[in-house]
Amino acid sequence: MAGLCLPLAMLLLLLASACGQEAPQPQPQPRVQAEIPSQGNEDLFPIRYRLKWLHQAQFAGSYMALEKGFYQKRGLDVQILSGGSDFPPYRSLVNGHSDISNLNLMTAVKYYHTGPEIVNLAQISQKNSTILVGKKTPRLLSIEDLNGKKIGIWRDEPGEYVRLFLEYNQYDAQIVPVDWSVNLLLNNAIDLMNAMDYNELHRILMTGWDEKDLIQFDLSDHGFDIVDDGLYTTKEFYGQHPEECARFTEATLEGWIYALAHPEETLDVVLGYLREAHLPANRAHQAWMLGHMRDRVLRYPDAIGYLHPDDFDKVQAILLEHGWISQPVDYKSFYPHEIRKKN
Amino acid sequence: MRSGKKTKTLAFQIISFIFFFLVIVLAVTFLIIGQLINRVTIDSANESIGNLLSEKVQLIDKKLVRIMTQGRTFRNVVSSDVLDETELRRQLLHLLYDNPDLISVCLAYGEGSGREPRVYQLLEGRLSSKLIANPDYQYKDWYQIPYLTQKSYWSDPWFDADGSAQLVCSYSLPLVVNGSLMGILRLDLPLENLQRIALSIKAKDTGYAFLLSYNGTIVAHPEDSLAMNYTIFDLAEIHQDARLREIGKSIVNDESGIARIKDWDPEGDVWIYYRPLPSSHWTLAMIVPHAELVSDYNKLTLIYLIAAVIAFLIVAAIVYGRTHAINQPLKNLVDSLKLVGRGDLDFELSTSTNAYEIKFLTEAFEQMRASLKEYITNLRQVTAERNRIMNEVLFASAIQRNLIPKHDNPGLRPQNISTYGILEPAGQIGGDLYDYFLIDANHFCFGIADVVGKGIGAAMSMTMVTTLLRTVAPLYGTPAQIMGQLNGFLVKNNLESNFVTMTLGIIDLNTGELVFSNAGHVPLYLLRKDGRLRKFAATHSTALGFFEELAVESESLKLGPGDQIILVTDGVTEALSPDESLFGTAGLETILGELAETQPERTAQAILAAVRDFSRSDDQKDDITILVVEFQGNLPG
Repeated sequence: MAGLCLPLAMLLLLLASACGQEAPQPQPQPRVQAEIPSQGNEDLFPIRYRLKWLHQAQFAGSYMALEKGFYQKRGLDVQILSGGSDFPPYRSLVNGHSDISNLNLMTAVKYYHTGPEIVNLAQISQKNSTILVGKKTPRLLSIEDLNGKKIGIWRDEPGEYVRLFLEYNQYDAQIVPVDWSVNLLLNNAIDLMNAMDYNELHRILMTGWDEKDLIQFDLSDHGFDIVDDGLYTTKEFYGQHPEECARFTEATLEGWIYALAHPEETLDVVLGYLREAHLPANRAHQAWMLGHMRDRVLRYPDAIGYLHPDDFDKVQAILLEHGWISQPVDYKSFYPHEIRKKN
Repeated sequence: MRSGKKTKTLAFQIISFIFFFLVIVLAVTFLIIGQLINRVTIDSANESIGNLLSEKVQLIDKKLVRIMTQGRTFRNVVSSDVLDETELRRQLLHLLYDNPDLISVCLAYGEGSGREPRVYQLLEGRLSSKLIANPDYQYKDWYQIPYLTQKSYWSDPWFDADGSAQLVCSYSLPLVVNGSLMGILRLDLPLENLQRIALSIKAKDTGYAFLLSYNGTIVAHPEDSLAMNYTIFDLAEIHQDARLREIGKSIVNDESGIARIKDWDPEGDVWIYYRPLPSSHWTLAMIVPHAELVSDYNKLTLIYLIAAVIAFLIVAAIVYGRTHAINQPLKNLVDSLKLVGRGDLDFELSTSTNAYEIKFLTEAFEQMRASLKEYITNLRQVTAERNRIMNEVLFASAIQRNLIPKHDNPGLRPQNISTYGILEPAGQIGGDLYDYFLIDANHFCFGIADVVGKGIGAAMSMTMVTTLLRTVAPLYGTPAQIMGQLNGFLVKNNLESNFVTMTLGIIDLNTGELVFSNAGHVPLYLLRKDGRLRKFAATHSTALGFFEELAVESESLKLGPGDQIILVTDGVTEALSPDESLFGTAGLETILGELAETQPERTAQAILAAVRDFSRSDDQKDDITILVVEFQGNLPG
């Protein structure tokens, strides 16, 4: 925990500064509390936060921020909404069904000019997590073997990244739009599927397949090292509520730091969300996921939540090259927290 | 007994010996037979639980097979595409009505088929249909997998929000109409039905069953939180049990099996039995705690141990009783031996035993006791007799000693004579003698004698000689005459024919003239005052008591003041050294030659000391007698 206190304190300072506050004191927490005294629910600022996907440990930071009152003590009444195929987070954001959404960086950059402009509040995951996974066969041993294969890819927005990868590399594969199930792969309805290494990969392993019998292509090893989860809002909402956005981000990151420092307590909370949503509540799986999220969130322990310009430039270059965007996106405009830089 | 080893009773030793081997025999049989029984118990339990499992598998599979058959038949009807809406609904009504296990049927036509996807249910006996408005159903497993593989498919349980609004397992078949894939026919079975069957299965006390879908997902389990949430591989990961993961692989590969899992929470060691449902590739599995499986065996083992302990106690009691009975005569014998050890032989020893060896021993001991008692009685008599004789001998010895002149009685000798005599008998009484006395105012008689022979006879002869000497000496003035008298007496009265060597002398106190006779005795020595030694070796007759007519001669010599006459018996001259050499007259002369300015006592003691020193033995072989007479000068006129 001691290792996490310093980055948190630093982040709090950075965020406070970003929101036009005066120079902060060395002890940030009392200062925040002094500025935002505890209020009743009716006085809290309501925020609808749409997750990228169904409830799971991928969003543990938000649950813990809510659970431990980190939002509330910052004057926010946050409602965490499930995402997934039925409630695509980008559409939810632009349609006004949510105030803040969890999106892939690539999605956000891709739609920056085509839809309402959106801004990145924090880059939660600092690592690429997408892989292509299939059963190892003599016909499927290298990335070139993707040609002619049936590849299950999440329909709509979550699968865009993989579709772009295949298109960009001109693999002649048959794309099968799928939901979150791994059973298509198990029943040989498809040859490969896209998977998050913190999620679907484990679910496949938990049906009796060993890693040695699977073939995995990590997209970051093939030129697509694009970071994923981030907190986003529309420029309009950000312009109207910069302070609330900053507090939301700050509380979410504090929630993450708490979650990673208290994995067992966090798993209890996550499993509670899963049960409430009638989703498979599997502690082993959520523990695996939380463990992998730790690597993603804490990749740069001194810059949690920071969108590195390099990561931003990388995705922009890929999208431009591919023609998925026609003009570059301004980093400062996309990530308007000038002071929030890595020291 | 003196080895320091702790002795224990015979009964204890026999019982402990039996116990030791009984324990070994029991342990060995327990290990061998126990293992066999354990194996048989487990095999038998495995078989019965396997049979139970097979029965339930058939029960569930029968339901599934029926659904599959109905599904295929209905698909053929639908695929023929000759049904109008009314007929289709009639057929659906029949299908649902005839198959109460079915909760709904879905005709999920795909996009471009030009038909509406609908789900049908029986509601209050009537067929109800519902349009599936959301096209996302095409991404559900039940649709997508059979659609893509064009094979029928049993789904994992899923929540049918568009239809029955409950968890169902669906059997889906691709719908091919006129050669083209139009969509999917889906028949839904409430999961609850399968769960009810699975959860009703019990084995032993707490053994339970659970159902796994084809990919290892637990779909029915007594512990609610596991069902639909975990695969068996998740459990293996939680338990960090590689063996369980292998079992999981066997299960998803449609294999049957029995395996023991260690430290299953919370039951401990458990057995898992699993058997696939052939129609759906699901698996029905059972968990039975090992402890329950072998509880009969454990009870049997306990009974066996108790029986063994009881058997041992009985054997021990019998052995104790028997050895005690056998041991009693031995104990009596031991007590009797203790009495014998204390010298008590007046007891009765019972010989009533049926053990041959002990009877023999007891009888032998009884004979020994009787013999010993008789012997001791005899011994006592003999001892008493011996003691009496000894007392008498001692008394005789005392008498004999009293006959010898005492040094502290100066009245026996005149003023100008000094004497010192030593008589050291070899036994209680001796055959040697010395004596001196005044015959009259002017004549001093002295003599030394040695009875040839031992024991009482010799002593008595000596006593007679002493007594006789004192009697006849005053009557006969010369040693030769005195000795003649003694000889005559001895020849007549000596029963044992002992003869006596003797030197007898008479000193004229006024003149210093000594007349002496030596009857076969050791030579007489004259030690002059100035130290000159003179030996008188000639004998004047043979020993006394031998020849009736004995002529005894004598010789005389003149004593000066300070001259000493030294007389010894052969106990001195015939003393043997440890190397068997004789002390001899040479040894005597050597001692006497070394004396100067001596007195009778010193001379006598010096001779005795020299003899003792020479022989170096406490065991004196012969009487030693020394008599030294010193003439101190003529009596004053």
